[in-house]
Amino acid sequence: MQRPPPKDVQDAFAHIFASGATLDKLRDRAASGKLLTKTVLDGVPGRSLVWKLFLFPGPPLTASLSTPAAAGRLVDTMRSLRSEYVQLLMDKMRAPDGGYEEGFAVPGQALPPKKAASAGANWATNNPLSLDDQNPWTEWFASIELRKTIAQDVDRTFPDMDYFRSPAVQAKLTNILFVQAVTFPEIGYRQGMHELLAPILYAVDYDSLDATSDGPSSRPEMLDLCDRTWAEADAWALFREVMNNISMWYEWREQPQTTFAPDGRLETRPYVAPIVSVCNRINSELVRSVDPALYAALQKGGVEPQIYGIRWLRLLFTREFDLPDALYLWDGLFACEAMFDVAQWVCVAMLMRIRNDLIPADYSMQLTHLLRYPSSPFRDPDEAKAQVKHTSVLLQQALALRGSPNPSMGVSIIAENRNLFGIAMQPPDSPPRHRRRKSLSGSGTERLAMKSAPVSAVERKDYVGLPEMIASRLLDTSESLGLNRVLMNGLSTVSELRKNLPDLTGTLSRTASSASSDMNVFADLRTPEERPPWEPKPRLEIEKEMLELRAQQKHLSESVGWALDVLLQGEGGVEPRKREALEALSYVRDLLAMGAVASVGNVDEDRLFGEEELAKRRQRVKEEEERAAAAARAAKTHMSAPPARPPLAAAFQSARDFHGPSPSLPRTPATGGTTMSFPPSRRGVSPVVAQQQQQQPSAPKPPPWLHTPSDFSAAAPSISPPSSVAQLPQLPRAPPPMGAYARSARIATSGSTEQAPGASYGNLTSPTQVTEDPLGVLR
Amino acid sequence: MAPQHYDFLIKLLLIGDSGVGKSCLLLRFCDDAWTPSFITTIGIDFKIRTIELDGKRIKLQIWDTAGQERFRTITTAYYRGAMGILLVYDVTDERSFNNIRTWHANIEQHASEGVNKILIGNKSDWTEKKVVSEDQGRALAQELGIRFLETSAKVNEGVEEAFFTLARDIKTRLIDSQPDQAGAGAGGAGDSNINPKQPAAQGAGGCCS
Repeated sequence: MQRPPPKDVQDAFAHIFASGATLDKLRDRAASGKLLTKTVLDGVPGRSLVWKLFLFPGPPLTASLSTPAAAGRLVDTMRSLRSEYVQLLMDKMRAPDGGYEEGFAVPGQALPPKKAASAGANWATNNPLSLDDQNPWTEWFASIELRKTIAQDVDRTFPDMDYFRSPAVQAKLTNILFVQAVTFPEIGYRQGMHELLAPILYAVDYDSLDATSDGPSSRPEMLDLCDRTWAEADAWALFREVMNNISMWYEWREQPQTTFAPDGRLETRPYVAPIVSVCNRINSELVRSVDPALYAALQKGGVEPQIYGIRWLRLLFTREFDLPDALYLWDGLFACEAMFDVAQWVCVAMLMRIRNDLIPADYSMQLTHLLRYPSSPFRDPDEAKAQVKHTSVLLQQALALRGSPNPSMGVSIIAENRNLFGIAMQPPDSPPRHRRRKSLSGSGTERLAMKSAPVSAVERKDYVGLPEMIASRLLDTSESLGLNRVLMNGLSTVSELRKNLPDLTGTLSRTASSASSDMNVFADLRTPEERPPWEPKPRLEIEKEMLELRAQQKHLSESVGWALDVLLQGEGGVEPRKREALEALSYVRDLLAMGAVASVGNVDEDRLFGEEELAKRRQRVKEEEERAAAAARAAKTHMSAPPARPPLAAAFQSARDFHGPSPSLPRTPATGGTTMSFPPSRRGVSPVVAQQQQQQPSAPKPPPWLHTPSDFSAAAPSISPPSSVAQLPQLPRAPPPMGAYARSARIATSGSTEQAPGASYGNLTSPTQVTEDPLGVLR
Repeated sequence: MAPQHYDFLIKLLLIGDSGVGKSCLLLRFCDDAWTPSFITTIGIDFKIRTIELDGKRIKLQIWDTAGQERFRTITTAYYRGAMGILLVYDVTDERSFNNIRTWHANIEQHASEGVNKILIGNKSDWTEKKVVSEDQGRALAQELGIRFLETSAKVNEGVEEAFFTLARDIKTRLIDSQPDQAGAGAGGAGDSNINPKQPAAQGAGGCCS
């Protein structure tokens, strides 16, 4: 194995133990994927240190880790764990005659262990050939079998990584798994444990220091924590802690469960493995609480949740993602107090991330999507490098969902996935579906799932126009109504979910005469300016505001993050930068104190970052702009579409100048085939909107109650739509695509409501860019 | 991943001890590939291959399970709707052969009645390590009343035959015997001897758009 230069480990050590951070802070940073950012060779220096801090009882959460006692306490913990491991290993590996297998090595001991004095020395029972029930050799032979079973899996552990091909490493893995299995016989060894242990041993070994060669240059407590001699013991101790949290997912028993029935009788029920009940809980409780549409689709598809959940949970997602990505997820999971529970919410976030694939899919396709989980949400590998760690995002989403398990949070997650990864907010039009597989259980005789060959025109609902669709939706009383609605009407995905939100629906219910909350989406087409001030804001507007708020909070958090970085790096740093950071921090504090709503759009970018950072960010934006411009030029040679506005630049500009009128919403270059997202702006959603706007080709007249210009209406630019609008067919238009750079674009959306009409018209001028047709009317 | 068109969907299961080469058989059959170092299957995996049998396109959905995954954790989910089962042992590992009876008993208990089965002795290329003879395998298969084949996923021997044989048996049992299906010679389906040359439904290719 190629280890990093000791200096990298020392830096990591200093970052953790000398930066003045508390354990609480480290946990937070790990959960957001910001703690360990440096990758050297094939590893992340300091990872095992952090895991040790998180998993072992150590210093109190709120005390600074920089005190000498903090590292010392961890060292003490490690020492006792190491001697415990040596003791266990020697106990469990000793044959009944007191000897050890050839080649057996004990960590920390130069010589192989000596043969101990035979315990009982009763030859009637204690000899390998005795048939006595008490014969200790029976157990010994069983443990040899166990070691064989373990070795068979160890041999197949991460076959692509050379590190795990080394016999010495394989022996360590086998030892640890064996000790774990015999110390927790009720669980024993189960396949999958080997792949949980392997990354742990790798991380420990990667960070390890050689006492003789690295000794002189290292701090003593660091050398103690990372001593290579104890890599095996440390890995065992970490593994045991992880298993303490999740070993029930490996539990399996033959016996039926005996419980007391409500009437007091003893009742014997078939044993249900915890992993099965956990998987069922994930589906029928957790997913259901945050994403009813997805839940309905999964129910309909009928894939048993344990089919995918068993692998996701038992291996803690290492097969679903590339190992480096998965380990960032581990960092965050290990930082959580309730790893067991958070991991289940990670499953929910994973399901939500592929909900567009799952919702329209049948059993077979759902199975494929679930068992071949996409290892990255980014379509473009370059993007993956530049952007956030997508697995850390999963963890954040899991924590958010766990904190408020309701459809409102579900919607936020869906919106976040759109903004970060360009995942559309609603599934694409479902392909014409064949008759659904009948329930496979039941009659007892198997059935062949027949494929009905031609698709009747009746089934192709996507040919049906919008009015019919609405009518059919209102009249349709079948139980699939809810699902259809979600599938066919992209926008109502949001409203559908929101419906379950008592608090919001309470404040949003407009009048008693509203036909249905669903119809409101189509009924309330007035712009905020047109709406009388005494009427409550419609749902969509509140949703939009929430999105804007989140965008702003995220932006502020970037600033805080930057400032913290500056301050943490601090030792002997440049004073002016520190001052800048402090100023930025206090500015953010003031902003937050002002109340978030009031401050939307009032952020002074210059005050959020220091000069250097600001210049960097501008440079980055400029580069993006140039690249986008180049792309647009290239696109222009192919088609006569108008050049796309560089998205990030627009985003940045409007982020810096929230109130300034922006010519149009940012658009990604018209790249064919990319799935476009669907911001929850009410404009451009329904055909009625489009018609209305067409009927008013000139700037909309302000309603009577706005005759006195206010700050808001004054700021509104009067946009005269291009003449081409009039020639367009009366069709609904999708809003501008947001695509890859939507994360920054989100800031742009939040820029001002005044942008929206321009955006809408701008979009109308380029019908070629309409790639999305949530209502299925354009076909 | 455009959905392939097919006439029938058949669900098959691979069952047997850990390390007998279930995943390798699947990889060979579905992707025509082989790797000496296969990762351990955790829980369930599956692959799909569409084959053509007597002019019908048959989509085989083949489920692979972890050998150590003794039953109950996922039994019901795993067996549900299975139409054929490949019982796999390793000809170089006597224990995996002896365990076939246990696996067979499990099938009897959990799978639906009449499910088609085939016994597979894998790793047949490894002659110098072979401890279970072909005769032993055949005798066991006879005892259990199922078909038998030796295979080698490594050198691609018998793999196609194994899956095709099983698929054909299933087709005979479930499709050809259904009165509303094309197979007119349903009466003779009681005999396990299928006639692959039966030119039934050649024109059927066009029916599935």
